[in-house]
Amino acid sequence: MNPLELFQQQYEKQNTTQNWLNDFRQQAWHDFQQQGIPTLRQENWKYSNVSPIFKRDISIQQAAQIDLASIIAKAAIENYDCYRIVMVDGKWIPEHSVLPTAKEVEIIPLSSLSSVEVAKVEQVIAAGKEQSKLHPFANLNLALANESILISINKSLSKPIELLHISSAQQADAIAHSHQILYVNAHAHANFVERFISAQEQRYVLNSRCDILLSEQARLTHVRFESQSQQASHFRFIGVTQHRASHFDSYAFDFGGQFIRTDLVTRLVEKQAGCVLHGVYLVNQKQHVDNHTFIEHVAPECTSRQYYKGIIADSSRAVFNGKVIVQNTAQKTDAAQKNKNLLLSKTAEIDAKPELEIYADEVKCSHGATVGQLDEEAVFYLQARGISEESARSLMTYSFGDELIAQLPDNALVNLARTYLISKLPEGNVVKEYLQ
Amino acid sequence: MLAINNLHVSVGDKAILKGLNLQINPGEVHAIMGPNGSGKSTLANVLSGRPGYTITDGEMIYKNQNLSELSAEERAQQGIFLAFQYPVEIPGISNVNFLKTCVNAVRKQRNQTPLDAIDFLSKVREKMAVVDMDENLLYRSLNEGFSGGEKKRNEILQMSLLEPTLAILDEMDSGLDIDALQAVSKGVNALRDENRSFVVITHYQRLLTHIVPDFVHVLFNGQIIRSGTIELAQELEAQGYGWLTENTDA
Repeated sequence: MNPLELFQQQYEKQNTTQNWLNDFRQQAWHDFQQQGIPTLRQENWKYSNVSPIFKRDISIQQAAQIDLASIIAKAAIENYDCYRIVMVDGKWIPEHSVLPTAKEVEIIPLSSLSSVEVAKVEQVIAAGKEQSKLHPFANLNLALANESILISINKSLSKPIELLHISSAQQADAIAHSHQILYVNAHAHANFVERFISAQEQRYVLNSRCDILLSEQARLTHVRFESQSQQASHFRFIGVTQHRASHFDSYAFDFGGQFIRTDLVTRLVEKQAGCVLHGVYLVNQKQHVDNHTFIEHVAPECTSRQYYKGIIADSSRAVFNGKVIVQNTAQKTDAAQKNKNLLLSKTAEIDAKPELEIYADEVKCSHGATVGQLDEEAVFYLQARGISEESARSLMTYSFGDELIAQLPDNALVNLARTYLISKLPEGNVVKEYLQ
Repeated sequence: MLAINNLHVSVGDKAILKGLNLQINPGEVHAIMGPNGSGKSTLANVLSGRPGYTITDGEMIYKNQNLSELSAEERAQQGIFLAFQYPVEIPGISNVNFLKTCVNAVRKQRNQTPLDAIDFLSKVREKMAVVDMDENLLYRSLNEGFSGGEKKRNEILQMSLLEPTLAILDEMDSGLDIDALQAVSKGVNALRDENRSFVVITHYQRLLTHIVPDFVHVLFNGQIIRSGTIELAQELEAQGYGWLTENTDA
C-alpha cells in the first residue's frame, strides 16, 4: 500500500476520548498532509533523499515477541547506576522499567492524564508548535503515535535515567512511531541517557519525537546514542523550550543505523537560558547521517553553543546543518557554532551548512565549519615508530572523535562512547591497547 | 648490517641521489655531511620508507633484506629508527600512551611480552632522566607545543625505548641550544654499543664533538665524494665545502 494511504488508514483508526489530544492530532495530521513526505527539492531535505525508504512496502509495526530481559541485560551500561525507562517500538514497558518514587519522576500515558497533567502537556506541545510545524515526520508522529507518555521530573534526580528504546525489528519495512514528552519542573536537575538499539539486524523505520520543556532554573543533561541496526532508518525530532535561567546540555552520538535524520530544535524563550549542543557522528560503508540543529534566541541575554564533529569513511555521507536565529527581542545574545569534519576516503561526502539569521544588534555570534583529512606526515611519523598504517589512521581518527567524548559528565558514558567509536575503527584493538 | 649499493633516488622527475655507496657495520657511527640540496635528508627518508621517493637504480640491503620490500612500519619493527628533523605534532594523542603503544608493537614483533602501564612508566622515567627531560611532557599530547629542544629530547627518548639496530639522526642539532645539544648527545652516547649503528646527518662539525663518529662522509650532488674520520669534519669546518666540491665533477 502507498505509505500515505497507510498513514491515512492508521490516522482514521485512532480513537481517544480525550478532546484535547484529538485537537492536537488533527492539527498535526493536517500539517503533515500539507507537507507530505519530503523531496530533494525542499531546502531542509536537499541532501537527504527519503523516497527510496517510502517506495518500499511499508507496514505498521505490530506488537512483537522478543526476549526483553536478555536484551536489556546485554545492553546494560557498565558501571552506571541509573533508573531505566524501557520502550519497545514506542510503547512503554513498566514491568521492565526501574523508576524512583513519584516524588522524583512520574510517568503517565497520555491517555490517562489528570487535568493538571493535561495542562502541562498542552504547554509543552504548544511551546514547540511553530517549529514542529515545519517538520513533516514530527507531525506524522504526533498524529499517529498512540502510546505517548509524559515523563514529569518533579525534583532533582538522585540517579540518572536511561531511556532505552528497543526496536523489535521483527518485521521488515515496518514503521513505528515513538513519542515522549519530558517536563522538567522548576529548579530540578536531571541526567538523561537515551539509547536506540535494535533487537536484531533488520530494515525498518522508526519515527521518534521528544518534546521537552525546561522550567525556570531547570537543568537537563541529555546524552543520546544511536546504535540501531545498520539497515534501520530513524527520523528523530527533539523540540526543547527553555524558560528563565534553564540549561540544556545535549550530546548526540550517531554510530548506527542506515539513514538517520535528527532535527534538534531549541527555543530560548526567557532570559539567561543557555544550551550547549555537542555531537559526534561516525559513518562508514554506505551510511547516511543528517543532523539539523536549530537554535532560536527569543529572549535577551541567552547563550548557545554548538560543536559537532564528524568522521566520514568509505562511501558514507553526512550532513550538518546548524541554524541559529536571533530575534529582534534577543539583545545581548551570545551564540557560537563549530562543525569539524574528517573525511577518510575519496568517496566520503559531507555537506556542512551553518546558517545564521540575526535581527538584533547587540549580539555576539560566530560560526565555522571545516572539512579536512588526516595529516599524512603524522601518519608516516607513527609508521616510522612501528605502528601499522591502518592502526595509525585509526589512532588519529580516534583522537579526533574523542575530544567531545572526553567532555561527557560521567566516566561510564565516556567508556560507552569510546567502545562504540573503537568498534567502528579498523585495527580497533590497537586503539584499545593504546588506551590502557 | 647496512649496504647501500649504487643507489639512485628521484623525487618526481628530479634525480637526487645519483649512485650512493655506503657500508655500515654493527657498532659503527657514520656522520653524513654536505651542503644544502646534496641529498642528506633524502637518504634518511628513503632508508626509513617515507612515501614520495622512487628508487631508479641500486639497492639498500639491511640485515640481508632488500629494504625497498619492507613498509615503513616493517622497517621500524626490524630495528630502523629515524629521529625526525622536524618531529610531528599530533594533538589528541597522549605522549605516554603513544610511547607505550610503539614499545609494545616492537616487543610483540620480537616475541617479547608487552609491558604493562606500571613497568612501562618506570622504564620511561629512567630513560627521561638520561636526556634531562621534564616528566610532565609525558602527559601532554605528542610533541604539541613542545619547544625545539623538547621535541628532540622526545625523539631520543623514543629511540632509547625502542632500542633500534640502526638509528638515523636527521639533523639532530638543528634548532638546539647548547644545553639541549648536550642532553640529546648524552642520550645518543648512552645507546652506543657494538650491536647498534648510527647515521648522524648534520651540517655542522659541532654535533660531532659531542657524538664522535667512526667515519665521516661528505655527500655532494647525490654522491659521497669523500670519506674519512673526524679530521675530515674538522677540515671542512676550517675550509668550507668549496674546498672539496670545487674539485669534484658534478
